[in-house]
Amino acid sequence: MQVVSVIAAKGGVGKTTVTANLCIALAASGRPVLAIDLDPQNALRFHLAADPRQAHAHGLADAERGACGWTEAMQRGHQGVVLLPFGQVDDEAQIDLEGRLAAQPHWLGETLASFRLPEDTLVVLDTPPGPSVYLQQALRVSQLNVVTLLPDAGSFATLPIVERMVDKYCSPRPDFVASTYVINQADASRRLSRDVLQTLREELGPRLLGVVQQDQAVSEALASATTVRHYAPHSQAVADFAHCTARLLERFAAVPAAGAHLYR
Amino acid sequence: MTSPAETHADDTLLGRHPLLRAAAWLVTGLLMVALIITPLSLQQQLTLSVAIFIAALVINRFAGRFGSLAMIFLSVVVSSRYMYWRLTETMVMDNPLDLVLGFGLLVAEVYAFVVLLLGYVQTAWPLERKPVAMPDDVDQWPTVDLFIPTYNESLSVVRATVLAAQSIDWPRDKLKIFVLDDGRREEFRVFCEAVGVTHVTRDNNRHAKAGNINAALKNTTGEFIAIFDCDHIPTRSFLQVAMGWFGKDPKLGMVQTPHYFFSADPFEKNLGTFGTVPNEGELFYGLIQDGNDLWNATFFCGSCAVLRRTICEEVGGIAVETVTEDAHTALKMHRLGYNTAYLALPQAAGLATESLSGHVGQRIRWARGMAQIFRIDNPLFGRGLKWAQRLCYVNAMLHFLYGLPRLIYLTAPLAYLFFGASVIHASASMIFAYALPHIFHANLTNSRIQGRFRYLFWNEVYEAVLAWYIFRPTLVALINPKLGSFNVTAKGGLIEKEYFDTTIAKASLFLLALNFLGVAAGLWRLSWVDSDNIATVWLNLAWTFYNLVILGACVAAANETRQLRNAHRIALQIPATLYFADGHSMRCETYDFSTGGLGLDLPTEVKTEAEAAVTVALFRGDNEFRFPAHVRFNRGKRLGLQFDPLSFDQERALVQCTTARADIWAARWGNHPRAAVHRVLGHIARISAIGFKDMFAHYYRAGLQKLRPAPRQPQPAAGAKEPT
Repeated sequence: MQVVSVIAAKGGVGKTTVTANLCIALAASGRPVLAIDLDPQNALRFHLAADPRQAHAHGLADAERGACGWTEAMQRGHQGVVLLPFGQVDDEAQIDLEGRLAAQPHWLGETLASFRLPEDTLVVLDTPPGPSVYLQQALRVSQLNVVTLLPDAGSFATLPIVERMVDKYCSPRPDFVASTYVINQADASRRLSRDVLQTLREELGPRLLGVVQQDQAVSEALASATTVRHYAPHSQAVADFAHCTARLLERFAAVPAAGAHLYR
Repeated sequence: MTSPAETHADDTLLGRHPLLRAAAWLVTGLLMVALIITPLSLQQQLTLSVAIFIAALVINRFAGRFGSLAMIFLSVVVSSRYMYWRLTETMVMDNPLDLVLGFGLLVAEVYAFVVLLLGYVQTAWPLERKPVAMPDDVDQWPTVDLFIPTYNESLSVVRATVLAAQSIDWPRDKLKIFVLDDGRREEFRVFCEAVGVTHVTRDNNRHAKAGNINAALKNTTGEFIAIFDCDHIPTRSFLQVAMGWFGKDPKLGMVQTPHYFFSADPFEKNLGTFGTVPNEGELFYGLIQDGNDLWNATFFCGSCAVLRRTICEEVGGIAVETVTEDAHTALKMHRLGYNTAYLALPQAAGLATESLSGHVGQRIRWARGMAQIFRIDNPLFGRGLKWAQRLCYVNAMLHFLYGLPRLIYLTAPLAYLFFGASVIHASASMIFAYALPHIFHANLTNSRIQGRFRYLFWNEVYEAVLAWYIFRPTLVALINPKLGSFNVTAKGGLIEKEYFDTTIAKASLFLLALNFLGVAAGLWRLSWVDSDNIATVWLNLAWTFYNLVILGACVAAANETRQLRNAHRIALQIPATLYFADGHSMRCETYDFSTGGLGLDLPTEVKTEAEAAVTVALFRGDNEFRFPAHVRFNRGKRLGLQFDPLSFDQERALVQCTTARADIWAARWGNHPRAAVHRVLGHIARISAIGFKDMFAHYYRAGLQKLRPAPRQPQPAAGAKEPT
């Protein structure tokens, strides 16, 4: 089992889109993929659920408090991805959940271990933007982070917030591989986008996993309840996500698989 | 000397014992002389020839340089034996006609023999020099002035070169670009100012290109001078590839890289051989320059090269005494003990001459210039050269004297067929026994050495076309090097309709007519006159037929095919992305490009409106560049785009993504598969047949028009609506 966390310092950068498309591309490369939505917005299901009518079914929040079994909370997603949505909860239940998670820092690691997933499974975690108890949980088990940014000044300025958390929760762990970056919605036809992109490239160097070009097909695929891969197989976005995925797998391949001790 | 071939110690048995080595030379030399001069009967000569030829065929089965050297040795022995026999036994003439014609043929044969031997010296061991990496510390890199001399070429030709030169990977503050405009054109000045390069003019045009460069040398200070003809577009890696050796060898005066042409030369265009048969220049840049490099005799070819300023100034700048100033400049460097180097990596590409007449004009200039150097600064004499350098230079010059010998070969059998003159005083069977081994060995060996760069017999086609035209200027230059005028090679023209260039074909047509008459005379001799000498008649007839095949190909080369597009299309498969106006994108691949547009292979068919506006993205490494364009045609999975007007930045980016790519030309060059003899001959025969057909069709039409004087309206050219 290898764990990837998709994180963002601020909202609106297309993090959930990146998570979903990485999951699809990873599954297309032949790996079993478990996508877990740790974001109370509960939006990953719109991108990944094969059957949108199951949208109001159980999720992670229900399973955590024992209202349903874990298998019951999971559903089938596109491309063979197994999806564990956050689930629909009201404000009080969410605050209770967050309290319990804050009290049990290794909850996610223990839970994942209890799933007894096949060894080659990739677990992809979608997290809410900015610091939160969910992000803490994710970073405590994550082996590879995918930080999502836009090629604009705001994304660049907020990077240190995430980097401090990564330093705190990930870097000390021996099984941690790396923090990588994906620049989303680039537009080479706009001067500012091109310039910021250039600066980010120089700043990030090999930590940059890839750049995803702005592409209408991405939002249209979401509106059509299908994947971009299926909706516009030849689009630049699909090629970009495939490239990011290949680079991500390369990073994992460069280190021996670990997992047994990650939940301590 | 830092030539790599000379730096490693010779630790072979013969290398360690100089006496043994001398003895080996002596024994080999004596054996060789014996093999060459021993007189043999017909039977014995045949046996010896067959034995040696079988040995050569066996050796030819084994790859490697030792095999090549062994085959060269056998070829030299067999050809020397033939020449010895020719000189000592076959020149016993009893009447003046035989003597004059026979002497003419002998001169041609001796010339061919000398050129064969010198060619072996030149190409026996190509150096295959590899580039040396520049130091990691960029501060140590020298300053370079890049000169782009131009005289009358249009701005559309020059701008890509300038923009590509600006894209060369070299520290910005250490590379200055100068457009040396001998045309003094306002349009050029404005362009240079707009893109940020220096526009240089002078108040006269003395000594043409050489004078132009020398004038600029006086006003610039860079440690090195890179020179590009205005239509040779450099790749971004040019300087990093070419400059490394200068750091390693302080006496290195010049580094030359190949001239690669992305458009078809007139032979390739008119004979339909572009990309399938090695062109005329490939032998020189693929093999001969690389062979010269072993002997430290690479010469400067005027473009795609870098000169060290100090050494260039020491020899007085670019030579102005001859019209091939480039080769002469290198010769002067060698005379002062400096080195030159050749890197067989195409780092630039340009337009080939469009028409056969333009091509002929260019070759006349080269031939004249080489003959001039031969006269005024003969490399055989004078100070400073090593013997091998002298031989390489002499061969380069002798090569351009092929005019007369080639004309003699094309008419030699007629001496017998017309006049019954025996130009070789020997029986047909003796000629077979001596001459055939000589021809077979020379062809077998050269096809092994040159196979990737020149196919058998093509040499004869290239030379036969030019022979008549370079014969006179070389003769004039040999008599008086100062006579004759300079002509600039025109590039980038359009041939708007197909036509048969009767002016340039005139010489071939005349020779053709003679050879046809020769066939008639031969048939007449066969049937009535010469029943005693049937074998001799057949020998001369076969020779005449061969000449007809070669001349037919020459005639085909004069049939100018149409050249419609202004911008040349270059095949190129690189990833691209198409962005449609509605925000959708599609990953695709280019199949060709030009400065005006781009052809795309799409993964699936798309519907587009006519002239739909799109944006196309190309990549340079990780960087994406987008270019506005509109759809010109949409057929199946192929889409043709025409660029909208581009800004200088966009144009430069386009050059960077296409012609300036470091790897773009290397794979297309020197990669011809070896071709079997019968295939090559068959191909030439087919081309020749087409040549005859076109020629007869041309004269048939011309004849009809004479009979019917009312001029008909010319037909509009079919297919003229091809996308640009």
